[in-house]
Amino acid sequence: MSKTFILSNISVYSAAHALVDATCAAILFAIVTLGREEPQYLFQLIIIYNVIAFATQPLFGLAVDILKAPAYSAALGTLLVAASTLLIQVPLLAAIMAGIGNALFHVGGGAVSLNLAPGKAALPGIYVAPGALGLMVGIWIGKSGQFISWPFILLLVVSALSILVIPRPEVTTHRKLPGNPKWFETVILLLLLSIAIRGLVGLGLDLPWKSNPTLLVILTCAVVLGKAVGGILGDRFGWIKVATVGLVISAPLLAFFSQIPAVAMIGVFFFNLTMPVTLTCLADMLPGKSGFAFGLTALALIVGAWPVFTDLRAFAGNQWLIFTIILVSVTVLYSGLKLYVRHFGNQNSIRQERV
Amino acid sequence: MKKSVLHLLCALPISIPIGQIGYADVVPPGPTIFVLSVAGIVVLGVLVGIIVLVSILVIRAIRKKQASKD
Repeated sequence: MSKTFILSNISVYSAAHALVDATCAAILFAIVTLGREEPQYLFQLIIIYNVIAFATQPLFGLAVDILKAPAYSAALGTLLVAASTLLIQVPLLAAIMAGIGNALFHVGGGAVSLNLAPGKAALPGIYVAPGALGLMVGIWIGKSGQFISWPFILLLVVSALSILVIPRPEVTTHRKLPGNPKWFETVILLLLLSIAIRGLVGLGLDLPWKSNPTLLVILTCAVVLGKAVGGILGDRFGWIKVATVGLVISAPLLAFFSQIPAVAMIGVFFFNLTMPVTLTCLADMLPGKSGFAFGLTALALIVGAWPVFTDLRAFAGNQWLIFTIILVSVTVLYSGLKLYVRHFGNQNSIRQERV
Repeated sequence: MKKSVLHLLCALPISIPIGQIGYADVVPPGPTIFVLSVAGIVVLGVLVGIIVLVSILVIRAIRKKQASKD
């Protein structure tokens, strides 16, 4: 595939990703800001939205893989999110439609990004990264009370058309995995477990200074940069090195220095380096099922983050517990990646790990 | 401006007026699972459970397909 082809695809999908996430967040927080409903009901909406947007992705991903239609899924998702902006007066319907649209877009875009350069983590990382930026902007717009539907609808329709117009990558078909199939489920389980732990720590981490707008912007940049750079570094220096070293560095910074913004931001950057590596590795384990693989990571994130929605959230205040959880994540991820490289690794990952 | 950003980054810890703390995150504050009605918890739990089960079955099917190629 030519560089222009890859560049046009990744630019359109990354920009659309930020826009879709921004719109969904803006809708939810605009509903919150409207304040006509009971606060408890509004929190329910946020939970319902999160469960639909994350947990349903494996199903939509599977459908995308079977129909071989990631671009149509992404375009349809974008249009559903656009339509949900018109339903803000019916909060439950708006949240459900935004959730379904978000899920459809994510698996479609995820499948495309994974098929642009199969076996490489750089492009999926670049595709996922702008989501955090979109969330931040969307929350800000929603909370400001300035949410207006039509600019979002206009931009989303343009995004959907761009997705449909640009040339699409060929979807990877089934291929035989090398190695011993008896390790198949173990590798997948270990990868998903490490993602679930990342979801738990990522959402549960207590960073009280986030309420400061300047610091929130810099923190978001650290998340975006970590995800975007993680794949590039992983492809260059080896997935195991980058992912495990990143997590090891982040553990003390996030556990013991989360009150110091600059240190915590460095920790957040290193913590996010693992994301594109785990995603691409999982997609490599499931050839021809990139949409399903992408969806599985989202499901693992929401399952892992589940305690954050309960009283168990108090764990975030325990520094040693956070430190231990991240170290467990390091062990799980290292084992998963090591088994993957030994039994199933693509030539690129094997070569890089031997350097 | 530069100085204030640097100050913010290195402040230990930053105190934030109560009024500023609001919906700073997508995660609602406090013990929130209980704000869901029992029916809501059951429906969402069943939904996630079914999807997890389907995912496990699909993974096993893919593995069997891979093994049959040997």
